[in-house]
Amino acid sequence: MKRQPNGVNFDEGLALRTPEELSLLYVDARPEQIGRLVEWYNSEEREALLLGGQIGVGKSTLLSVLTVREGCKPDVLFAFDRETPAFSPGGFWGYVLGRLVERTLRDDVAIPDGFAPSDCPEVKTGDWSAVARLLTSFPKSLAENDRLSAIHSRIAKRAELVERQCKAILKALEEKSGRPLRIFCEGVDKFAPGTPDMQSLAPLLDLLAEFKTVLEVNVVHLFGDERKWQRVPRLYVSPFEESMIVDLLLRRLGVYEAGRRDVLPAIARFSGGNPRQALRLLMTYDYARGAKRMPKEDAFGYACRRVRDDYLYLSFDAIPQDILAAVDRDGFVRSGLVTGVGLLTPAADAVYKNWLILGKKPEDDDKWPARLNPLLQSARLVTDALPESPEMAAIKRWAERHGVSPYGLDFDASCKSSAEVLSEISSSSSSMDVLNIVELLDTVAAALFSADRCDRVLIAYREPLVMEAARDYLAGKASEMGFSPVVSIDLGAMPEGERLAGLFAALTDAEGHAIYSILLPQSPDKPFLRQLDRRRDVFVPYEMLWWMRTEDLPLCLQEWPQLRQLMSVYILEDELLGSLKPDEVQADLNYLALLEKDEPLHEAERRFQHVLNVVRERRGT
Amino acid sequence: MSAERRRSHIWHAIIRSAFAPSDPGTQATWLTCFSQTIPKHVDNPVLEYPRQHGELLRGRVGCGSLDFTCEYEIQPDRAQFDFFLSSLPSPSWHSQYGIESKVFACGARELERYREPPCQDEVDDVLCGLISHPRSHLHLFMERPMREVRIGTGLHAPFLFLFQLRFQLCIDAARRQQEMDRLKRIFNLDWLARERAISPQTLFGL
Repeated sequence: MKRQPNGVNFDEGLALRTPEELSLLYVDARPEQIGRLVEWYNSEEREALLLGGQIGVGKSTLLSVLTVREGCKPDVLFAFDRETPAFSPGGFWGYVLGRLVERTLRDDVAIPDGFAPSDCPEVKTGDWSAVARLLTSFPKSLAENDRLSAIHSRIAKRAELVERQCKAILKALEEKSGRPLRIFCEGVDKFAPGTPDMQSLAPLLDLLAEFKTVLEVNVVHLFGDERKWQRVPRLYVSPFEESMIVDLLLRRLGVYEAGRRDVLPAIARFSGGNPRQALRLLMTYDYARGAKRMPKEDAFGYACRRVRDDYLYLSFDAIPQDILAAVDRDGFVRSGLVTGVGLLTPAADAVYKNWLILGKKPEDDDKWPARLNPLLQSARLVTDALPESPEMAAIKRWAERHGVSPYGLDFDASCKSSAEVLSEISSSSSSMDVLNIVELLDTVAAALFSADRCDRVLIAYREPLVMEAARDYLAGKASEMGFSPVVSIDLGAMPEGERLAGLFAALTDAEGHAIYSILLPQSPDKPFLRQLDRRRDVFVPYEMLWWMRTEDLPLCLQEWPQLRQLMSVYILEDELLGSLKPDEVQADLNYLALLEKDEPLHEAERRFQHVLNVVRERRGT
Repeated sequence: MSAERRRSHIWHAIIRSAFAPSDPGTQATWLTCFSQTIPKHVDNPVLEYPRQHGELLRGRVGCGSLDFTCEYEIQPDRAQFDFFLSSLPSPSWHSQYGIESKVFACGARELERYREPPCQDEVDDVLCGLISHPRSHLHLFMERPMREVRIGTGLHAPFLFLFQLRFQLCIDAARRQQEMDRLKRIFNLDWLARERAISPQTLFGL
């Protein structure tokens, strides 16, 4: 991502990767943890390490600091979430084997017996290099996907053989280099405990835990010791101090900090120490002030509400209200409640989805300091101790006005019974923005048409015709701005088993010129949604509009604790004619008629003409 | 010819060649180039692509991080620029800057060509007065006065007004310098010798 050395650098809370990004935007809030990672790296002891923290707390950035700033490069890097072609036993083993084979070929090490190129008749050249490439890449076509699936099935049937082979390769590589290999495993955090994908992945992690491997995991993985890989030393990534959050946000604002500086303590407070949540609050506040021209207190309320909806909204029957109430009362969560065999316990689920924010690791491992995510709390409780300033006064006024239950949620168990809390929650509706087409364009334009950002916007619709008009209208506007092409992907039109491969095959432009408009199938199945969730970071380089039916939205949000972190969610109003007037669309066309048109402008013209036809048809004119 | 008159000549030559698109097609091309470069030049931009209503061209531009938005309307005989600042107590409060081309003002006039050739420093001074530091200007106030932002010039030329607004909405000194350096490469002595028209694509570096 292109960064501005002195200007505003907003994104959706992506990991910092490049030397430029780290030098501009990284706040050295965790020198001890970096020190521990460097110490681990430099030690010759063959010991694995779990690097664990909550979603958005900065684990991936820490690993970048280790590799980019500290120069501690991995000998072998596995990115299970981004690079594994299929989340199946065969897919994972095939991916690990492929990566290790690549390394052996580079180091000129003989590949031990086991799975062989001759076991892959689908690879015509029949050499290891081609097999490794196939096993570590997303299929580029449905035919390639079929070939890969056949190989994965064969690998799964011979998993023990492949495991022995991988182990032998790792030992051979170590022997050749004369020291323990440094292995980095990114993206394990995307696989929640107890899920089928995690069950497929776990045997590999057990193998890698026998070597000098650092595994990037979610904090909930630190609580279990069911598997061998979970019983290795742990390094916990705790939330930021508020002052560090303020420093981080100042860096993001660059020379434009003047109009935002005073609100930063409040944002830091409502972030709960989570840098991604802080950045999203700042971006949304900034948008509400700058583009929507809202007064300060309204803008702050808007930011809290939007970020809560994007990150934390759950179907109300899924809220573990007893646990949240207990944590709110006690200030800690018992480790036993988070630890569980198999699927996530309700407490672990609340931690995994950031409803609960864990504090610093305690001496007494049984009681972890914890609190409700501030976006779920009574605003007055959160703002009581904020410093005095005109900006703070405005935010406190807002908090006072919304004091009892700012978001329709209140877990103050001392005042209300569980039944009362549940009743209040059930009666409140989601506060997600319902926007007409013009408002939608206004809202997404800053991010979507930015030269430097690649954002993902999720739009839920009820009326397909309105969705189609909105899709064409946004695509027309994007084409006017020179974003080209606008690629439409209808996942519902693809056979069920081929949707993921079809989607990945269509994502070809990582330069940020294209905009992908992706229509989800009706009533998407959970396994497919979970696949998309785990693949979150694959979508980072792409500018995307996701469309889905409103009735599918709760299920998607429920299944996307990771992916929703990189999305802004809006609901499209049913009414077409109230917002999009024929003379406005005609004015777009009139303007285009004045121009000499290149292909993007022709595309814009076609899209606007279609919108105009739809609007006129609706009006009966 | 005095230095003052030489600079006046350069001033008007720059406006004529780059900021006075005459026919609707050229005006639309100019505004398209303008709009397409806003996200590259302005941090956290607010942008509404222009539309044509009859003879009127209407669009919106601003910088979210400066809490500033400008809605513009350009017609053959007049132009208006509505400024909206989030820092004002009410969103409905705003100010409007108007240009009425039919009303007399002591502005553009034909000047005889200079006898002594001007130097690049003189061109640079003119660009400074036109774009980066207009003599009369308006500052924005956020929590502190944003003295880097100097909105002015373009009294006779709405397109010049938009261009300098685009420049002023970026307060990053390094990028401003880059932009000025780019303009100095366009409006160089070689160009001045012939005073060729500058296409919108060249003006905006597209």
